[in-house]
Parts: sequence; structure tokens; C-alpha cells
Amino acid sequence: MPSSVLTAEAAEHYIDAVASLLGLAIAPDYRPGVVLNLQIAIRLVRIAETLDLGDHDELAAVFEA
Amino acid sequence: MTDLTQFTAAAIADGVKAGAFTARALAEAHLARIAAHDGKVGAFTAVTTERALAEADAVDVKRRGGAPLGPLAGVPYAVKNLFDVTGLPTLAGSKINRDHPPATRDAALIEKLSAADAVLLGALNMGEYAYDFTGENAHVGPSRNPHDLTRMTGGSSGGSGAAAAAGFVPVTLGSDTNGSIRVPASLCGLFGLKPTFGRLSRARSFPFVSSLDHLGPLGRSTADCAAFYDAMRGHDPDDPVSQDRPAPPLGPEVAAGIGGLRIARATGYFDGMQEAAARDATALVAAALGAGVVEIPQVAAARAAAFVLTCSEGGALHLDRLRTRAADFDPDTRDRLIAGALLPAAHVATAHRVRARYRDAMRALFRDVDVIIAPATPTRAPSLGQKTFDLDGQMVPVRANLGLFTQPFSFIGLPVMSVPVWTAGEALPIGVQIIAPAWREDIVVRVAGHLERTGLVGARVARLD
Repeated sequence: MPSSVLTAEAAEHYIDAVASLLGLAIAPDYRPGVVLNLQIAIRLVRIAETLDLGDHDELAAVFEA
Repeated sequence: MTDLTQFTAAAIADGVKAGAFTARALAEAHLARIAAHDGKVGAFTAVTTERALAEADAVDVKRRGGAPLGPLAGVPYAVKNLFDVTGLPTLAGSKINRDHPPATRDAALIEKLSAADAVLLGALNMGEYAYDFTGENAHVGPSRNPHDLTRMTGGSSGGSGAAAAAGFVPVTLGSDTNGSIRVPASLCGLFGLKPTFGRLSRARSFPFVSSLDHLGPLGRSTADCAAFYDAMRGHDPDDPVSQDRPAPPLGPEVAAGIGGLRIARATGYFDGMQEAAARDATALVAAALGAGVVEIPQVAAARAAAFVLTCSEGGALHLDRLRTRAADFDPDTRDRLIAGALLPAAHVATAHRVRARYRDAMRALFRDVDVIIAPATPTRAPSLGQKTFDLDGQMVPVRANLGLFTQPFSFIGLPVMSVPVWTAGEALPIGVQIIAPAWREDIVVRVAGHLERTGLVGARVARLD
């Protein structure tokens, strides 16, 4: 399992790697807020992951052909 | 002289049909109250005076001519500014959308209300792009709680809560992705109905998280919410999640009573992270209903997954605006949306899978229970500008946690009504949620109507003089 906490340093590295992929230029004064919110989101990802999902737990997507 | 702004929607429609007053007099009375007091409340971003008077006059012409009147004849209402209103840009609480052209057609629900002879008075303030639980808007200022103008309305349908509590209109429309109808209903002392996901059309409203977005009414009585729901129900192929299934009217259910219903108060997660006001109000409602207790499984994981889906899908929706106009966002909204856009897809897929699993668990739980009772918000209205609050010894952010108890139910689309409780000596209300199985709005309304008749729950028009 990955670490339960995303450190600020790790968040900074991740933002550097992924933001350009998305075409996002994140201004220096936005970064602390983005780092903090990314840390919060990952903390909640870890809580969501406490559910023991199996291979047959399907996505709850909304689409009808 | 009778103050027409104190009336419920039901009393207004009855009075117009009986000729006790005209729709024009009603519209003018409500417009005058808005003109006198909205400067300090901040509920409206646009007042559609010309349209309102024209719609009211049309109702009066119909009555004078003996034509049949709609069920909401002459009832003034207003909508969160993410609903398309012909002639207005659909702001969705943003600065960026001011550059959009005016809408050329009303939102689907407004068209239905027009057909029911209701009268639209305007568009309402809201948190930017609905990503908000406070009702504070960085661009136009906050909507203020009419019961204490130094406090929050809650959001994101903040203007919707403020307008109905202030007596500007008896009923408003809001949207609820994670709690944005139920949070302001709780803090402003209103009945707020979030119907089942897929029940009411979202066509021509500005989206936030399509997987989770709902629309619904906030009003000062159960019957008023039911009457608006009844006028708005029905399948709409223009909304891809709208379900084509029977939608019986709720009006007859308001007085049906709670006989035969198995009612339980949610424990565990719903016992924690709140002030005494929330605990006390929920206990009062549970006692009045003779409720047992039930522990909802997987709820912390469900709430977390709702959070993940929200920031990711919201971030994806706004990605182009984040690329090109980041400086024009509210900084609080922007930073959360950017973080959401950056989330790995695998985490989002996990959140969707948690949603399906949790829905199945709740379906199983509802085999033994018909109604669940839970707090709507962890506190009464926080002060404007307040960033953190103390919940059971933990200092946590207000903005993210006002929806702590609403998110687990909207996440799987269950029908919920927040009902307002005013405990002895308190000037501010707090809400309690009534939750039923999917598609059973009738049960929600039966319980809310029963509680209202006991006098335990009820709304008040705020004194603004």
C-alpha cells in the first residue's frame, strides 16, 4: 500500500510532473493551496480505499447505450 | 393590512384562485420586500421585475376570464443562478460566466413552474460553481443569514436559503451535489427537499458534478416543497440521467401520517463530529418519531469517495477555464479544482466502485428500515468569514465539513428532506435529515408533514426591520 500521507514535498513533485501534462500553468501563489488540497484529496482517497473492493465491484458510471 | 410576504405558497395559490388577492399584488409585495431588504441580505443577483409583473398579470387575466389556473397560481419563487433564465447569463456564481451570452430558453424546471402559473422573481446568489458549503461568494459578496446577518446561510444554494427565510419568496430552487440544498435549509431554518437522483430534470442548468447533481426546492413548509415537486416532476429526455418511471404526486402524502413506518436514527459516524445543537435536534426528532437506531455501514468510505469524485469531476469540467482564466476564479474554488484535475484516474475509478458497493449495502439496510434520521449539519450557522470550527475537540475547516452528514446520502442519490428545528430559546435553527429509499419521496414527505403537525419542526420568516 502507498503511504497514507502525501507529504508536501511529494505533492510538489507530483504537481510538477502532471500539471504540464494537463496544460495547467500553476502560478506560484496558487501552489500552496493546490498542495494542501491535493493532500486532503489523497487522505480521502486512502479512506475510500479501506473498502475491500473485489474484481466484480463495478463502476457506478451513468451511461446507457 | 395583510402582509402577503408572510404567506406560504399553498395559501397564496388558494388566495389567488379564490380572488382574495391578485397575483400582481403578490408580486409587487414580494418585490417591495426585496427592494427594501436585499441590500443587507444579498440573496439576489438579478431581480426580474418586468418578467414577474408580466407573469403575474397573465395569471390575473386568466382568472378574470374564467380560465383554469395552475396549481401554483401567482406563487412567487426564485432560482439559484445556475438555472438558465431567458435573457440572463447563467452565472453559476462565477465571474467567468458573466461573459456568457444570455440564455435563450428557461431551464426545464422553470418551464414546468411557468406552466403551473408560478411567478419568477429572479436569480439567486450562490457559491462559485456550486463548489461550496458556506454561501460566501468571492465576486458579489456573501448571502447573509436572515436570522442573523453576521452569519452564513450555508451553501452552495446560499441565496436560495436566504430568499425563502427572508420572506422574499415562499419557495426557491437550489441544487444539491453533496448537500447544497440541505445545508442552507439547515442553517436558514427551511424545509429542503433533495429528490432521488434522476427524478427532476437538470436540463438547462449549469452542471458541477454530473454524476451527483440534483435539483430541488427549499420552502417554508413540507406542503410547499411537495407542491413545487409535483409541478416539476416528470421524465425529461434532455437530461441524460432523468429516469422514466412513475412519479406519483406528493401533495396527498403530506397529511398521510407515519403509521407503519420503521424509523431509525443513524448512529456511529453520525454521532461524531458535531456540536450539542445538532445532537439535541436529532434526538428530539428521533424521540418524536419513536425511532430506533441503525448503524450505516461503510459511511466514512462513502463520504470520502464522494469528495474524490466531486473534486475530480469538477476539476475535469473546469479544466479549460483553469488553463485560461485561473485568475478569475475564487481562489478557494480554484485551488480545489486544480487539485481535483490532477488526481489519478485510478482513484476516481475506485470512488465509483465504492459508490456502487455502498448503494448495495444501503439497499440491504432498507430491507429492515423505512426511514433514517440524521443531523443535517454539524453546527448552527457559523459566522461569516469563519474558516474553522471545533467539532468534538477537532479544529476542522468549515467549508469542507458543513456537508459531513449530507454527502453520504446524496452520494447514492437517496431522497432526503432537511427539516428545521428551533430548540428552546435559540434564535438560530438547525436541520435534521429524513432519508428514505430511492424513489420514495412519499415517505420523506409523510414524516416531515407529521413532524410539522407536532410543532417540533417549522420555518419562520425572519424579521428584517
